[in-house]
Amino acid sequence: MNLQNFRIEKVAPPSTDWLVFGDIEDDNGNVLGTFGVDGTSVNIWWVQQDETFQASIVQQFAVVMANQIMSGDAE
Amino acid sequence: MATYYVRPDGNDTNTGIGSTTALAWATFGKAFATGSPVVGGDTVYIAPGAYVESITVTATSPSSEVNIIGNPTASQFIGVSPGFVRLTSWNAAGTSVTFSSVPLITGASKNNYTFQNIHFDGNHGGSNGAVYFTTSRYLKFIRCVFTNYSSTGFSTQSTLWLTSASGTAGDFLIDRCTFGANNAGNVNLSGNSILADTSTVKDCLFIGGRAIFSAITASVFNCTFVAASQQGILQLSGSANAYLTVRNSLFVNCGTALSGTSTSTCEQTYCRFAGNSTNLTNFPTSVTSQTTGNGGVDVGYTYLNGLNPTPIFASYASSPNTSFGTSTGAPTVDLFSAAWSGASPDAGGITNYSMTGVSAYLPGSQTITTITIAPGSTSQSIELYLGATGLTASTSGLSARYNRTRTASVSIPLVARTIAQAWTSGGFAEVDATNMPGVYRLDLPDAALAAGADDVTIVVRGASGTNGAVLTVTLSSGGLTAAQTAAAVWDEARASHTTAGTFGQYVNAELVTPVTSAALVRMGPFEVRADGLGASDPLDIQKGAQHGIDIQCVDNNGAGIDITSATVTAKVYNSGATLVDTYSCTATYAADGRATFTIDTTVTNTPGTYTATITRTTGASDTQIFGPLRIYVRDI
Repeated sequence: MNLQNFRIEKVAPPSTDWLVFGDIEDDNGNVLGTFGVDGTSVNIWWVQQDETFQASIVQQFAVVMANQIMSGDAE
Repeated sequence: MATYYVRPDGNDTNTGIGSTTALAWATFGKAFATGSPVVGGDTVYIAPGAYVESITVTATSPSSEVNIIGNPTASQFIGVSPGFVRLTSWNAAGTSVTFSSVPLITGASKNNYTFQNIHFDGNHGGSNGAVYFTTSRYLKFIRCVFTNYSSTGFSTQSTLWLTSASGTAGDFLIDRCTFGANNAGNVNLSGNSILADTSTVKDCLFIGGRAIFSAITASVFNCTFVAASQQGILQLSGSANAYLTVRNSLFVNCGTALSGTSTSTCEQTYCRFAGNSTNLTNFPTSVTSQTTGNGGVDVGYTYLNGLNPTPIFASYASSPNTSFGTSTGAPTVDLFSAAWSGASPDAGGITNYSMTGVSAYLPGSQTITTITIAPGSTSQSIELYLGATGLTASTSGLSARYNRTRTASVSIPLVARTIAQAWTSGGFAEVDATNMPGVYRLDLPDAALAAGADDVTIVVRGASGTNGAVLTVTLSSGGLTAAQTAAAVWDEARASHTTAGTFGQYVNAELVTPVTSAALVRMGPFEVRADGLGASDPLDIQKGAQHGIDIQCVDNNGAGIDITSATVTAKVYNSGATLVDTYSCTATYAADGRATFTIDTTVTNTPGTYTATITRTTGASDTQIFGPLRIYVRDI
């Protein structure tokens, strides 16, 4: 799987959302899908995922969060 | 072009111009400190050891290349064991961290440093890189290893981070290096969007982290990226003038293998992708790359199972990676300097080859030996142990020098010889690679052994695989020769040690005088018996001298025969019964038959066995014969 014309954009405050843009292609350059003309909202997408997937991502976040807390960059 | 040396037991107050403890520096950072004498063209050798230092380069930036060379085999040093050359933020044992969140080495606007064979061993989780140079140019890292063990390493910082000055190309080179960092970035090269930038990363292995190229034109050839959790390669701020070329590289089990700014700012050809979540993001596809098939690397199978082992992450035999790439821009050898196993370079940094037969480095003897040669000797050859076979007079780096007492060293240009050829100054030959491996003959220049110095020290060193050898020749005749010693003892004993009971007295009385003097020595009396009954004892005398012989004429009962008024004569015959000489005997106690005669050199000049018969004549017909007396003439 390849991503072309890929970019992410932060939605203007007060929203905390991000939008993902791009084409999803196979290895031959055939477009398999897109993130939509207006991009895909991360926040909306996130709550649509099942709990097992969310748990696996949260566990990856947890390590980063712990390091940020210990380094004083976040609380 | 000076050469400096650093060793753990050196001292930074030394000059650094010499590899011994008394001359070498002690710290890695000495060469980079303010006032450092190291300038462009110089070389700094670093001996094996753990250098626990956080270095900020404050020395003046060199105007041309300075080589900072780790010397893990210790071939440049005497008395140092081979091992890692490690610049580390951990203690020497690696059991506790000494400093963190600061770089191992950092500098701003420092150019032209080339680092070779060094293990950069960080605990870097703070800002900036473990090896961090900003606004710099012409920095090279060759055969270096980068590790980072920070528990806070999951940051955006990189283990090796190089940036160039505004408006200037970086022209960085990272060649045959491995990265085992837990940082998000193993390498970060940041430029200024200059198309002419020649920055290159080739033949490298990246494990776990990514290589970031930010606003820089760069090329990546024949690298392997394994299990990069984010990207294998991430291009940031790419543009037409910050163009990234990736070729012949292998991406296995990465999050995203290649992530670019846009498909117009980068290209990739002859790459292989296996097991990545995403192969390409904003990177153009290529018909020469391959996205099917397995990873094609050996992760230990050959070694685990007794096959000819290949290096880990190397292409295995018949791997789809073998000979997959294009030679355009490719390095001529792989990460471990092995030739590519196929007609074209592999995809990835490590080709398929057997490690069987790849010998570990065994250090040569570093013992300083001493021999003695007479001053003024010419055409002398010595034997040295260099600990490696196959060295010749033309082996790269191999050199020989000598220095005489308190004088500067002198080069010995090496000349190829076979072991049996005649001496020539600087002649160099392997003695017997099979039966005496590592031993070499060196023909010393006559000037090295000239009289006028106490000793001369010879050093042969510099070739790969040997620690070299040091040999000191004491210039001495070694005192008296054996013959001179024997003569001196003889003369001394006879001249000055002649009191009664001494060896000298015995020599003079018992050995010297009879042999070298014509003075008579009385010997006997020997009873010479009538009626051919022989004598009481044989006579054993020294050749070449004359001797006085006492005899007593006795009858067959042992009673003396009166020789008063008789003529007594001794006739000496040789072993062929030929009469050699006749001697008159003088009576000493005639009534008891006692007389004496002197046997002279007519007989004793010729060693052999003789017999003497004694005739007693008292009248014209009254002759009586006694003996015979057997005489042995020899060199006693």
